[in-house]
Amino acid sequence: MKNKISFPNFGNYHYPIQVFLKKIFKTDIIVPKKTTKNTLEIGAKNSPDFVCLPFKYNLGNFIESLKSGANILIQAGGGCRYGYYGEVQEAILKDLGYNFTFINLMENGSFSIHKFYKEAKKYNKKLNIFTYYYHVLVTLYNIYNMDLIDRFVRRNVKYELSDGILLNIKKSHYKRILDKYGFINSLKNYYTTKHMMKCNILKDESQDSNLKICLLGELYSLIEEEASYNIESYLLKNHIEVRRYTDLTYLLITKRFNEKKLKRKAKDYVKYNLGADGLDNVAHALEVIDEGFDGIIHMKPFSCSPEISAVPILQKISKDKNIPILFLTFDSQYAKGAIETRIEAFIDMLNMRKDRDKNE
Amino acid sequence: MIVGIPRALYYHSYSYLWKTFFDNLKVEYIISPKTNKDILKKGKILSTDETCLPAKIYLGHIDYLKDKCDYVLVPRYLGVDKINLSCIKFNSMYDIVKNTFKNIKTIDYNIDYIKGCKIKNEFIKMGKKLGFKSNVASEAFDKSYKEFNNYRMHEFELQESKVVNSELKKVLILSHSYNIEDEMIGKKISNILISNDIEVILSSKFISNEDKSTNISKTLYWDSSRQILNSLEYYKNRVDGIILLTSFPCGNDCLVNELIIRKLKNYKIVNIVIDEVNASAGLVTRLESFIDIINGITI
Repeated sequence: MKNKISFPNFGNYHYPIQVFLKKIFKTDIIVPKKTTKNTLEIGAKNSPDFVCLPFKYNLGNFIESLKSGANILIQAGGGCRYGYYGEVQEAILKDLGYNFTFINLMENGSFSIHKFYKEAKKYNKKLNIFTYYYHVLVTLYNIYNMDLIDRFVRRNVKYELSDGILLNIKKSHYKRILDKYGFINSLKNYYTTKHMMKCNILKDESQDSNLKICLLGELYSLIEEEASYNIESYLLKNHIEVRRYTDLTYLLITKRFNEKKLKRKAKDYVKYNLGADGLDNVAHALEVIDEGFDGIIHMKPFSCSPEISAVPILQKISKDKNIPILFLTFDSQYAKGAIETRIEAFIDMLNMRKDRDKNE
Repeated sequence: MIVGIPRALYYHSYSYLWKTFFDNLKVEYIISPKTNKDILKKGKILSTDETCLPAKIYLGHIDYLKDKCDYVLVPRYLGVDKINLSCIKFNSMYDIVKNTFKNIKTIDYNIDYIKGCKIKNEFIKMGKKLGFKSNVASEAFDKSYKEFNNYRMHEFELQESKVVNSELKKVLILSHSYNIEDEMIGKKISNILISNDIEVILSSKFISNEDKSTNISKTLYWDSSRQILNSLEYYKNRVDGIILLTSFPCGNDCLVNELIIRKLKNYKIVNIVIDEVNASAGLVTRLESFIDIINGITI
């Protein structure tokens, strides 16, 4: 039987990841189906009751992939409970009667990139450590470029010439990731996209007074847009400048080096690290307040302990600094309309606040 | 100078150590009363609604203590190494307390493997903050730590003799010590069991140097859950039934318990989730039917 590999959905990062896996394993890759309401339903049905939402989405992705013929599943890990997902998901899927091999990248309590090499070697005998790390670096570079493009879009969306053009150019960038591979191609791809984007924006001072909103919270809700009902796209479509710190570049690279900086920033409120992204969120909230942002949206799945710990601190910041923060919690109930209404109301409120401040 | 000790969370594991440490230093301390409805209500008001039940109770206890003492003891616990981490709630409990209560005075110690904070040094630091020289604090810690270990050994042996000698049916309650020992969570359940002539075995009293938890779970990295799995491995064939006790919405338990239920298919296991609603009728019904199953009563 031919090996077919699958992995859980994680925002738009499935583009570089599927190229990476193809290069490493040299077999078929089953790209997880786009996350939908149905994914959540299947996942929630087979999950423990009050486990956090990413678990349910991941499990739904796995079941959908297994149904379309995958027989090797890959799960990463790290941070809070995420590191323990793999083992429980494997047990649940085995009990459901599927036949598959599970590659869990957790080793001794932390995410290990080297363990993945050892696992991949079992399936692709020709793989050697140099080519493996070459592919890792190229993929990281791809991801880094993607994040740069994303940040550019969030910053400049209010200047775009026709509605939605930047998001369309972003999509074409992803298609080119699949076609061309390597450092040089990545670099070319990045500059092509950036050039196209620059041609389609016009820095107009009348747009400078648009709202600025910062998105904080748990990483999966932020990165996997479907899990947070496309809040970010909704804001971008309304030409609101969005700041989002959490992306894969931040989680894999930047986060390791800036704990001290964050602690210095948040020293009035936090003494110790809160676990996972708690401290980051508090420090980033303070940072955007200093920069004069209009509002903050904090998102988390239900029962996400690190973010729940950050909530009382953010509430205190909201009171002290007089800035509106909208707290959103997502669970397996699919309620797109309700969330949109709340976002609309929040934006209206921010606009009114801004007008009031102007008039005074 | 009076130190206030909240009777919640790590009190239930380390109370003996704290008490003897303060006794040895001749520091006065008060302990908040057993969790009651008022404390729970206060804790509910003070914390965000999605916080887990033990953390809500903890804030209630601190609220009780804050005006009655000079310092409140609020430790932070991250873990002793990479694979023995605490629940993530305890990483942030200190900062939550600081941000919830205005101008609260706390003494804390911080057990953190990343910073290399060992338990002894942290206790000496705490002693210094209370105004003692480091050698005095060090001596007091050594003495109390020895007593603490003896006490735990004694408790374990007491339970062991129960398991061996008791003629009654035995039920193992698997949970964290702060659930088992709390008046509003675990004590409710053990009281119902005892009134039905069941011998209660508690996972929190088990101690062992060997790690057998890998039989059930290979990638576990929480020390408290590891204690649960170790005690499960030790007692599972010597008891008649197992109760998995969880407080709502405990993040670690919901995954670990799922795994336990899936791996141990031939044992009598019931999973009980307790939340802040104080209705005991449903609980009594479930426990009674579980006791009927243990006693082999069929309709």
